[in-house]
Amino acid sequence: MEQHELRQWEAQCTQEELPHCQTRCPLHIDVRNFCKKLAAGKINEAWAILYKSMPIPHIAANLCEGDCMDSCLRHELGGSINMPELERCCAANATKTPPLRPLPSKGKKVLIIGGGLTALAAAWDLAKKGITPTILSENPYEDLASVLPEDSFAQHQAAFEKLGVLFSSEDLPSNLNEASDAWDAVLLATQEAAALYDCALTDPAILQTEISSVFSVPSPCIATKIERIAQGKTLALSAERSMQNVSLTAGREHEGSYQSRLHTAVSSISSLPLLPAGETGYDEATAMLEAGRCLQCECMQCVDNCVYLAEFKSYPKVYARQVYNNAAIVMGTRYANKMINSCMLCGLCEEICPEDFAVQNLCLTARQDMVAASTMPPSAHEFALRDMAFANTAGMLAMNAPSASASTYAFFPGCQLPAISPHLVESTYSYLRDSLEEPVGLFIHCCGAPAHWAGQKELTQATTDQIQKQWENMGKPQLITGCPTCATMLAELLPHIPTRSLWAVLEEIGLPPTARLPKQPYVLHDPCSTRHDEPMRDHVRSIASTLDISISEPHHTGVLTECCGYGGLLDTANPELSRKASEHRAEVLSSCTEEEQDILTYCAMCRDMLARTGKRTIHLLDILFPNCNAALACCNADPATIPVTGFSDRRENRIRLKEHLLTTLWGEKEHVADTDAPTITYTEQASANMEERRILRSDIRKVVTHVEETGESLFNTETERHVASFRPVTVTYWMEYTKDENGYCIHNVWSHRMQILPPK
Amino acid sequence: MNTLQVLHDDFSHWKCTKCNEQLVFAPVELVYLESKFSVELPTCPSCGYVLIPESLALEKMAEVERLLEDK
Repeated sequence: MEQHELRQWEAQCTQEELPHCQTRCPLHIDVRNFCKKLAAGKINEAWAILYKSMPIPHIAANLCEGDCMDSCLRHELGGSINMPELERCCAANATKTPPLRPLPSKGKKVLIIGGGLTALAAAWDLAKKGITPTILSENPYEDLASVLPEDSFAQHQAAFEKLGVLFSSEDLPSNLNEASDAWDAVLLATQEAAALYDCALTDPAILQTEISSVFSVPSPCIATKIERIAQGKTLALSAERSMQNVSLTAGREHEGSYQSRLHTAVSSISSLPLLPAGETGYDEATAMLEAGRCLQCECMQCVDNCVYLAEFKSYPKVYARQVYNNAAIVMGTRYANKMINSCMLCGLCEEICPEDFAVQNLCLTARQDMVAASTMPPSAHEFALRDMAFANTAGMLAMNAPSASASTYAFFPGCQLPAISPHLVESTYSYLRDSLEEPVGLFIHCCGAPAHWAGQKELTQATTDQIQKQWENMGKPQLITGCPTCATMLAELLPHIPTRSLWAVLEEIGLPPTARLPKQPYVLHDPCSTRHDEPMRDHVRSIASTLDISISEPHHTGVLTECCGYGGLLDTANPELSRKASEHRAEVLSSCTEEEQDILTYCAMCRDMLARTGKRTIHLLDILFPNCNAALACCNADPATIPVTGFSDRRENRIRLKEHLLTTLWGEKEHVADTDAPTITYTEQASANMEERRILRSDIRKVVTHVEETGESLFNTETERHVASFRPVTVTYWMEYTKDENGYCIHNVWSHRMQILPPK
Repeated sequence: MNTLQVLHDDFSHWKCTKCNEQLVFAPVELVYLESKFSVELPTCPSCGYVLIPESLALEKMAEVERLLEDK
C-alpha cells in the first residue's frame, strides 16, 4: 500500500471526525466528553474541559446560547441537549478550577482597540501564550458585570489579574500605521473600531487587514456572543502567528463552525425528553440526567455489526493504518498479520458504512501483498489450501453425461457439498439428468475461493486455468452451480463461462416429486456470498414458497446477511474467532422469532458452521432430496441432527462419492482397497484432538506407514505406549499409540511445524 | 549457540524401540523459517530419534512458531 492509498482509506472512515455539536460550536467545545463527565457526576472534570478550550471561561460558560443545539442529533429524539444550562450549572457548581499557567513572557505586546467579548477573549488567549495584551477601552466589560453571577465575574477578574492583562482608557491612536509600528500587533475588536479606522479586511477567515500586523473584526459585524468570543480567538491566533513570522493560514481550515462528516445511526435510539431547567437553572442532579441524554455520537456502525471488526478493538481507519505499518516493517514483529487474516471478506461493512468502506478489499489486498512479499505466515491458510489441492486432484471429477461425448450442461456442486453431503450431490445430479433434455455432465472441482481468499494470486490463476481446460474438454457446457460461493467466484474469475444457479434451474424444471413438504417454519440464512446475488436469493425464496414453507427473515438478511464464520478462510486462520462468528450468527437467527425455529440455508459450509453451534440447521437440498442413498454414510432421519462432518470425513466422502459415481454411472471398475495396510482405530479423545489440531487420518496413516517401513518409534515404559512421528512436507505429525494383532490404536496426536535436525 | 533447556521432566522411562536405548538429553537443533535454536531434548543416544512431547509442541514450540511467522 502506498501512502496516498492509506490516506484514501483513512479519509473514508469518519469515526475520528468530531461530533456535529463540536464542529458547530464556534469554539469547538468538546461537548461529547463534557456531557460524559457531567453525566458521571464528575463536575470538576467537566469544568476543566470547558476551561481548556474556552477563552474567558467564567464569562463564556455563563453566556453561551447553545449554537450547537441546532446540530444535536437528539434534536428530534426528545430535544437537543441543553448545553447553555449545563455550562452555567457547571460554572456555578465546580469546586476546582484548573490552574492557569501562562507561558513565560515572550516580550511582545499587543494593543486591543475596543472592549467587549472579542477583546476580552483575544486578551485571554494572548496572555496565556506569554504575550502582553492591553485593552484600550473606556468600558471594556460593557454590561457584563450586571448580567453575570457575582462569583463568576470575580473569578474572571482574578484570572485576568494573574494573566497580566492590562487595561487603558487613553485616547484611541489617531493613526493606525503609527500604532502598528509602536506595538507588535494591533487588534480592532469591535465593529465601531473597525469602522473608525476603515482598514479593509484582506482575508476575512483569519481577520487579516491590509496592514500586516493589524487584524480586525468585520464592520458591520453580526455575531452571536459565542461567535464574538471565537473572533477574539481568531484575532489572537493571527496576531501570534504574525509575530512569529509563520504562515497565517496553514491548518486553519476548521476554525469557526463547520459541517462534520461523522455519521451516527440514530434510527434505533428511542426518544428521551429534555429536562426542563428551573428559574435558577439546573441543580447538579438534574444536570447529570440531562447530560446523560447525550448520544455520545460516534459512527462504529460497521464495528457494531461485525464480530471480526469488534474483535480487534478498533475501527477501519485504525485498521488501515495498521495494515500500512505492518507492510512497512523490515525488522520486527508484524502484529497486524492475525487481524488481516481474520476478515471474513464478506463485505457487510461496505453495505453498512455510509462511506462504503470495504474492509474486505483492504484485507484481501494486504494478503496478496503479503504473499507477494513472502511475509504471509505459512500456517495461516495452509490447511485450507491443502484441502483445496486434494479436492482438485483426488476429489476432482469432470465427466460428460454417461454415454455422451459432450455436455450441454454440467452440474458444478463445488467442493464442500460432495465433502459434507455426498448423497445430495448424487441425488441432485440424477434429478438434473432426468429432467433436462440435453446431456448433463458432472464437474466436481474447487472454484478457487480458498486460494483467492488466501491472497494467492498465482494459485488462483492455476485453479481457474484448470477449470477452464476441463470445461473446454467437456464441450463448454453451461455450469449449474450448487454452491453460492462457486457462483460468485466463477462470475468474478471466469466471467465468460456461462453459469446458472441450481436454484434457478430447479425453479424452471420443477421441484423433484420426492421433496418433503415440511410443516414447520424455518428462519432463512442467506450465505454471505449471495449478498450481491439477488436473483439467487429470490429463487430460493420462491422454491420455499412453492414448498409452502413459512420463512422468517432475520434482522440481517439479504444484502445485509452475515457470514457463518467460514468466509475468508477465517476457520483456518483464526479458529476461535470463526467459532465466535458462527455462534453470533446462530444467535441472530435464533432470536429473530419468538419461538426458536430451525435454520434453513443453501450453502453446505454454512449448514455445518451453524450446526456446529448446536443450532438445528438444514440445507435446502435436504428438503428437496430427503431420501439418502444407503451406500453413502449419512443420517437418513432428521437432517437437522446430521452431525458436522469432520475434516478427514470430508476428504473420504469426496473419494467415496467419486468412486461410487464412476462405478455406478460410468461403469468403471470398483476400486479395490489396499487390504495389506494395517487397520487404524482412534480413541474418542484422539479423534477430537485431530479435529481441533487439524490433523487428518491420512496424515496419521503416513506416520503408521513410516513406522511399518522403518520400525522407528519410541516407547514409554510407564504407560506402555509408543510414540512415533513423520514429516511428509512442512508439518511433523506425532501419534501416541498401542499396537496389537488388530492393528494400531491411536490414543493421541499432535504436530509442530518446526523441523528437528537430529544430533550429528 | 546457547543450548536451551525447556524440558525439566524425567524421561528415563522412555526407550528407543529400534535401538533399545534409554533416551538421554542431548542438544538438538530446531529450525523454522531461517531461525535455528539449540535445545536439549530427550534423544536416542544411538540413532538420534528425538522426542517432542505433546506439551512442548502445543505450548512453547507453537508460540515460537507464531512469533517467527510474524517476524
